[in-house]
Amino acid sequence: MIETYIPWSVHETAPGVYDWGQIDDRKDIDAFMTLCEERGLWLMVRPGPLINAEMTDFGYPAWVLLDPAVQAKSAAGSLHLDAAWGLHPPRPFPVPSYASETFYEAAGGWFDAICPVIARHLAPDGCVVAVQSDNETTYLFHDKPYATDYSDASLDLYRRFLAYQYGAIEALNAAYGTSFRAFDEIDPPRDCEIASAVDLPWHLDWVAYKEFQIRWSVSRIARMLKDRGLGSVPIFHDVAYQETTPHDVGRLEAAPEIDWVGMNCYCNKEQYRTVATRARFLTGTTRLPFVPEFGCGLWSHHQRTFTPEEHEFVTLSAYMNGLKAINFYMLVERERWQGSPITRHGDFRPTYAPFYERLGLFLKKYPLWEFERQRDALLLLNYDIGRHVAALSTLHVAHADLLGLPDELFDVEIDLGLRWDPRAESDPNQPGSWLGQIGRELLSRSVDFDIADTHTDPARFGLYRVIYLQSVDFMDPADQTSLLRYVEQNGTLVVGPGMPTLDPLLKPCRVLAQALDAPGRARVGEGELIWVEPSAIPALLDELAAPAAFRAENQTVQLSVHTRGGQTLLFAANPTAITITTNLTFAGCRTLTGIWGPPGRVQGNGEVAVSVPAYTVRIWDVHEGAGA
Amino acid sequence: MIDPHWQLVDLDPRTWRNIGRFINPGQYIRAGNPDEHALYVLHDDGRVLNAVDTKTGPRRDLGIERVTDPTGLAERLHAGGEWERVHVIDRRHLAAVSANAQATPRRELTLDAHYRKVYDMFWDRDEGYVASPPHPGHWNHWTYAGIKGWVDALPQPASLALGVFDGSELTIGLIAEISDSLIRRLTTFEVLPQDARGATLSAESLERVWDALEAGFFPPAAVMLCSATVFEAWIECPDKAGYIRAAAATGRAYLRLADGVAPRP
Repeated sequence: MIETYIPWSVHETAPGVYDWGQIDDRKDIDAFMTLCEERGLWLMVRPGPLINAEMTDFGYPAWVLLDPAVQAKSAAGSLHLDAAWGLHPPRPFPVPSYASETFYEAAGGWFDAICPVIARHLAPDGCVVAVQSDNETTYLFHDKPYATDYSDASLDLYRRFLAYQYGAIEALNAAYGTSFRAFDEIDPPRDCEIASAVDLPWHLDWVAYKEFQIRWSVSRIARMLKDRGLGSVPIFHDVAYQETTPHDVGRLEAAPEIDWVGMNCYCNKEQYRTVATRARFLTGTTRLPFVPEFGCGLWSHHQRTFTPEEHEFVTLSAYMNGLKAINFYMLVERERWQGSPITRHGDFRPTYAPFYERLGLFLKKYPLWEFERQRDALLLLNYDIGRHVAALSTLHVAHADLLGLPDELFDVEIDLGLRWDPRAESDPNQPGSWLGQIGRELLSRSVDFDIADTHTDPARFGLYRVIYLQSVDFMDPADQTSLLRYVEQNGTLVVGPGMPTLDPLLKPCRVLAQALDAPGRARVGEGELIWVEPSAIPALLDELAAPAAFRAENQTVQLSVHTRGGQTLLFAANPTAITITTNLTFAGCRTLTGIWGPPGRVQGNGEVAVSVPAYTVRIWDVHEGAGA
Repeated sequence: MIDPHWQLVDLDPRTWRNIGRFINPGQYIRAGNPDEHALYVLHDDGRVLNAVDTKTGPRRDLGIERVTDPTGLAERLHAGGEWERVHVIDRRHLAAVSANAQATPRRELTLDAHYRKVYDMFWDRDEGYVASPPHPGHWNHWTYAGIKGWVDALPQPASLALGVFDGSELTIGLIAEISDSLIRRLTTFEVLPQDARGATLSAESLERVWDALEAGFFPPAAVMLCSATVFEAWIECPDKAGYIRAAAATGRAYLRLADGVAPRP
């Protein structure tokens, strides 16, 4: 299966004027799809309207971008240029507002032209098996709440969002402590002006609106595609990298127009933790753990070109941690891209291509998407914490990123009377984070887990024996109720560092706390609710975590076990710069046959010694007994 | 098909990895470097919002509530010896830079020219962003004006090539085609014919690369081949032209210029 963009600006060369190959034969998309069918290739297409791919103006026609009725606005009322956040050569362009009706009229014209071509090639008779609705829709990477979009169209959508949320202006006034006569009198915050809890609703609603605008626009574009005859194949979306606000992967995938949501991945070898987290998050959150852009090539202004060894380590790390589907993005190099295994002239790069040839053969023998990664725990990010941290931040201005300012300078420190610190808990990579400690403790026991957030479909919770919930003083009552139901139905919910007694607006709200109001344990229905403070985590996990089938004595080596029927694959990753030799321990006698890394067998009763070179993944086919 | 005016193609991964560190535009704009121990004081027209030490995090012990003399404050704090650099930044200045930088679509500007304007906006308003020690006004003695002046003085159109060698291994092989003082095509030695692609640090290779440019690119204006050591020193030293002359005299660099082209960017 292959994937291609269909760039709007390349084909609609002037308003209403299209080149489908009659002027430049390279633009004959219909012939391309026919060729795919002749060659037996399935095809995913990404017709935009945004495609990025480092194209000039990201694939938007200039005449669309330059229409003032299309343009997004910053908090100061200026334009929002793409250059505000990120390096996008060769020249700046004004970012469109995804709330602009003029923008959708123009995009609709493009879809009117391209969708009939795609529709002629839909599977099963044709090659097209999936269509993407827009690309990385997130305010052109300037994703902080008070950066954008303050255009008239966006403010209108914001007010409609508030009207939908509150129903009546009196309800909003009660929440805000205001006396607005109508929703159209309300202006959003343009920076963090939170002085006390009273100011939270106004700010958190804006943060939630920024999430809503993304879901609303991606869903709308998906409907536009379906309305034009593309409804018989899945419609998907790709998130750039955001695992929290303004992206809400769980709720975006819950939209009826969207079949699944993936997340992109461009990682160097030192970013093993990012790769693992992303794969676990997609596994815990989405219907199909899929990376629509798994960087083979890199955009030309990426500062750390992948080495061939990085391609191997990062790809195997992604599979190891749960990915089921990967689009090897820019496998064939294109203008403004670099480091691809196949050049734009169709030649294999001698140092880069062999890994992909080898991987293809490996996946034929071991179809990893058919294997089940062994895990029984879910780490649950509290979506409300991310919203609070986003609302309590400042300096969302263009080009602040160029100055190399420390992250803490962007924080707004307000004493809201909270017992636990949302900011400290928000990033599990921080040493003091409760959820981070849980993750490290599990990994030190070679226990694997998935990651999701509290907006994930609650029906998925039942897949896990234990859920570890990141929690401070506040939490959405509906999310608490969903989790309480999980406990009642035989789940084990571990909460910390705090137990919520407030809702996100800091009003009293006791759902979980009704069942347990001090650190300890309580039976609830068929399950158990546990509130554990950081100091008690190791002892609890000694009791609670299921014993790993394989354990690495050197805890730096990461393990993952995948099974299919009676077949067991063991992955071991070394995410460090030095070779690690360690004992792997297990119950009984096992024979490990190397299927990636050095071939050959090792056999042991209770343990074997293995060596994992720096930044590599080894895979063994595991059999019970000796000499299998 | 992608853009009629700008091509970036056939990028040899090794070259691109080795020039990656030059691509971050922030390093040419900010004062100081990421490794130094610094204090950042953020204020809103004098009211202190935040003070952050790059090693220890937020500093609430400094007793600064108002900033009335940003330069004096930065110098006083720096003189205390705790930090290698002290930054005092008015949030309103950053907001004004943001608004001004995005006032119009800027379609007439290339991205580097846009960033140059942003640089001017950050540093041209007295007391908006104060650093002690102040921004040096150059990056390793390179300035935007200096490079632009050199490019403007080239015969137009022209091609340039740079080859850097670590021993016998080519680590950087860059080719740029320029017209109207803008880079129109940037590529690497990967596109050269085999004899020029296998260049070594030698006078013969210099001529082969020159000939390859003559045959397949805009007329060559400058070709430089040098060792990695020379390249690193050339990037950092104040007297770029003098350094290359000295390196050429000892066979560590080879430079050929078209008639009338000055040696110093």
